[in-house]
Amino acid sequence: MIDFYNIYAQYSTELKAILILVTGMIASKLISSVSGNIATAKLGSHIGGITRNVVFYVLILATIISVLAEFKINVTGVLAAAGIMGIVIGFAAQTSVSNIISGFFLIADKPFEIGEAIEIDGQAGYVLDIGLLSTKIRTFDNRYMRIPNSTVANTRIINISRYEIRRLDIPVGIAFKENIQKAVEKIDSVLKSNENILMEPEPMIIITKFGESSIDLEARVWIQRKKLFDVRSELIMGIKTAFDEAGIEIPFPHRTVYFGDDKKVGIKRK
Amino acid sequence: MENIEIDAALKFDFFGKEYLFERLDPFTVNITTATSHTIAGLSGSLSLEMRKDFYERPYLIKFKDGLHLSQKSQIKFFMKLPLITKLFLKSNEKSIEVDRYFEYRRNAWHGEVHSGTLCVYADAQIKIDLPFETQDALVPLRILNRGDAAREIKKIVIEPENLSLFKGDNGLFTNKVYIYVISTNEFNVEYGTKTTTKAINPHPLIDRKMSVTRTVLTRFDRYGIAREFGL
Repeated sequence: MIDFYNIYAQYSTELKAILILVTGMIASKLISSVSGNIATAKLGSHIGGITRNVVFYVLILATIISVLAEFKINVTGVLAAAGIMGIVIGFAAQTSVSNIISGFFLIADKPFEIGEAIEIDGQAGYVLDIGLLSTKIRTFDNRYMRIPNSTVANTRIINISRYEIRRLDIPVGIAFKENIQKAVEKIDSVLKSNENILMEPEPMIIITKFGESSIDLEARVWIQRKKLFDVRSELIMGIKTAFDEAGIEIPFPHRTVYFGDDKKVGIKRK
Repeated sequence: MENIEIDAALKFDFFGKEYLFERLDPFTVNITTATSHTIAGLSGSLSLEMRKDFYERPYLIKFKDGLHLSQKSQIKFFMKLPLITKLFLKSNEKSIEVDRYFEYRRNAWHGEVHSGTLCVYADAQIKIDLPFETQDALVPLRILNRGDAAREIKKIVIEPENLSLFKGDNGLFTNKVYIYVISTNEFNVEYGTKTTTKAINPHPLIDRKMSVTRTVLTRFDRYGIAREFGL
């Protein structure tokens, strides 16, 4: 007859260790999965995935420490060693750690999301992925760009696709001799005839300043973001055509050189 | 509705666009315009049909001269609501949309520039009573000011998902729409389940089957400050 009591007495430590290991692994999987799902539902799939992994590895570490404790292995020593190891790795991987922490800030701050178009570090493109170490972008001219997260976190970012509509400004200058009212009317007729310009918020034309060579005007219109390039081309072409037809001059820079009152400059013709 | 016979061709003018439908065999139709050529697979007895539908976006309708309501007053009238005209190639059971015509192509933004909605823009065309000659739909509209101050209304928003379309002997009508003015830029819109009693023999073309009226808070914000700061 099998004496279970004796077997248990003989192998109790091993049995306990196995029980802790199995229970710990199952619990780690379950808890990490549940916490991952909750994080996914509340904060998105990206944060959900990270939460799942972090919770899983922390629980697995706790399980291993518990198993070691069953075998009377000095866990304090292991933890101290792990601490020292952590510091050494921390110094060695300073840049990587900085990137990882920046990655967490980017995920929490959400200045952009995967699929959005952004302008960063003088480059614009679509966000392909926000990783722990770096952000991957496909530029508009179809190049792959990897930017370390620490750089992303410290750089000015313009999110191009966050809002559905945007304002388009078209600056245009007219010669000083021209009638401003007439020029404004011509620009207005171009704006009114363009179907891609939104009627609300209403388009506006402002006279911005006396420029060096021109009176500067600006047409400000609201458009759907995706129509930016089309509308810009149409308006520049339309305003130029309307000004040409009306005989309104768009000047190029002039410079008048002044030699002083008492100096006369004569131009001798041959 | 015009039928297309086998081995025959049919010319059709759709708002100035010439279509030629040629039935090559019992299953194939050749569709040609001045700029395009398509082959459609459709069998059975074929015909062309034009259907009216609402625009897919909300309507932002602007009253050019403003609409003034004294305190505790109301005004009711019929307002023209633009519709899309769709051209269908139709068999006994199936249909293919061939083209659609939009008379109103201008859009407008309703709400804050960072969180609003893109709408179809139309200038308000109103008439106090029938007849109102139009190929579009008429909205039986009632604007109510229950407040103690006079209000001016410059624009309203009507959402097509809350509208039904009825065909009467005297034109197309939507269900009744009520606008309750809260302030110049803020009001509730309530959609009735029935159309006007002035529609003769109305039968539904688009029926939303709403059992209760729906209220939508519609709010307008001024853009002056946004412009001032160059946003």
